[in-house]
Amino acid sequence: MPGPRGVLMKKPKKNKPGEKTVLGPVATVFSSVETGGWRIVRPSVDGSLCIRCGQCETFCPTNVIEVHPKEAGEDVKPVEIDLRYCKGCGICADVCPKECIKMVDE
Amino acid sequence: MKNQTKKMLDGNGAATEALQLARVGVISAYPITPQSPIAEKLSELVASGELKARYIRVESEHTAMSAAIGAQLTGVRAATATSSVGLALMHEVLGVAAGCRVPIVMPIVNRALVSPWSLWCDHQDAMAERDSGWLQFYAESVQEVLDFILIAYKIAEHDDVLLPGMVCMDGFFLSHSTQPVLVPDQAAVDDFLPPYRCKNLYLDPKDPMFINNLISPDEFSEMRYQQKVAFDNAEKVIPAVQEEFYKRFGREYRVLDAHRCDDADVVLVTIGSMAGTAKHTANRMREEGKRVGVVRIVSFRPFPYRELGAVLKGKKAVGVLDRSAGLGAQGAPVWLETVSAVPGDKSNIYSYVAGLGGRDITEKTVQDIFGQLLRVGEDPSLAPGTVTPWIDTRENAMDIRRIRTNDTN
Repeated sequence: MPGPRGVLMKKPKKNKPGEKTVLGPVATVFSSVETGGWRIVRPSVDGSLCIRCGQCETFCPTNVIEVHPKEAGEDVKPVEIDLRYCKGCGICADVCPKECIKMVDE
Repeated sequence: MKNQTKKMLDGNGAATEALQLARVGVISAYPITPQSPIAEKLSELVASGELKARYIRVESEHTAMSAAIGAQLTGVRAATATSSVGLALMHEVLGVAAGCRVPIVMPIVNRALVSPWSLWCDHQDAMAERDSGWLQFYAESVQEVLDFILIAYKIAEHDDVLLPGMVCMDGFFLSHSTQPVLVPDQAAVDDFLPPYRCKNLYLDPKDPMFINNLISPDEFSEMRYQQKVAFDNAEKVIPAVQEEFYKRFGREYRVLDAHRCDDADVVLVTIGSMAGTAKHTANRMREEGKRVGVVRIVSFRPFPYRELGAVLKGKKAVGVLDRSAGLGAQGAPVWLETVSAVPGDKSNIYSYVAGLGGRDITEKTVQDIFGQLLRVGEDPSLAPGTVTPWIDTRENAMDIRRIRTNDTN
């Protein structure tokens, strides 16, 4: 059928079981980008100053920080950050009441 | 007809009846003068159980539309209504309903936008949304408020359309004017409007979709074009649904309503409740031998340019009476679209602005307009001294605030 500016517009393909044409913006294939690749600085935690208050975990907008309780043991770091997704925004460093998180060059 | 009952309703009451008949299942309406009785009455119907629906008490119109879109995507007719700055607050989200093809039908009670701050009738609110991708219909009477909402559902939900729609009624002049209305029975409406099913995008955990994701320049035009096709299709679907409504309920509607235009020398283009006054005035002037006609825009989006061009062809003069100012353009909104619709020489199409901010459009206003049109129709060279576009604005406009001040400089 003729479309705008004389371009011939193709008819949509026929729908079949399990496959159809829909209108408007929609996605059905879900994939996640490893957003850690966007960083230019990364958080560096001094565990010896950490009081495990949990502010960094609460305020991380990407939800990649986990604060472990003392009960988890000596070998477990108090603050664990998933660097695959941490975008280096620096909010954790900003909210830490003990200033034990510093942002360092990636 | 046997499938209808006469009730005395005002425009807000008629809108509420229509939404109830359409069996809306979720309501997210935020009150604003002059729409508030719609939000209030719907809450009463839900509280009493007469209307089986969930009522969400939203904190703003922005949320009202957002909630309605989310609800309708789960497979229910979602209802909201608004006016003026409420519609303006919804503006950002209107585009989501349009672009994601969610066929919400929303009553709009036309009221001026700020500033100046007004509570009263003006088309500025809906005209500001004429590019929103929503269908727009303008009612002349309270009967039409009810009928147009039912008709709009059927058009909006049609497979080939899938667009949201506004049904506009003049603030106070219709919303608060009690008129006799024939209300179709529930069974008759159920037959006309089948239960709602999501036909395109939907929110269903069993068949997940991520709706309204980011679209790159590679695909944006194509998706916008899909909406254009919907408007093209609506041009055919609207008359078909109007025809079906006529067969079922006995009231005939078209995309525009031409009154005594065939043999008219001059025609006035109108929109909304002003048309009633215009037609009445035209009838009186006809008795005096003046060959005047009135055409009323019923469907503003899509704009019935072919039909309007045909009605206005060959007229000695045409006036377009806008109830909004359309500042910064050569003329007001309906005038601009009328001029575009009429082929050939357009120099005899005159823009008029009246009835802003709740000012009544009186028989005198219409008579004065016709008087000017008849004069310039005979001799267009008289136009500069004859035509006064802001016809009901007073001479002291620039001097209307004279104040005492502490500034003694």
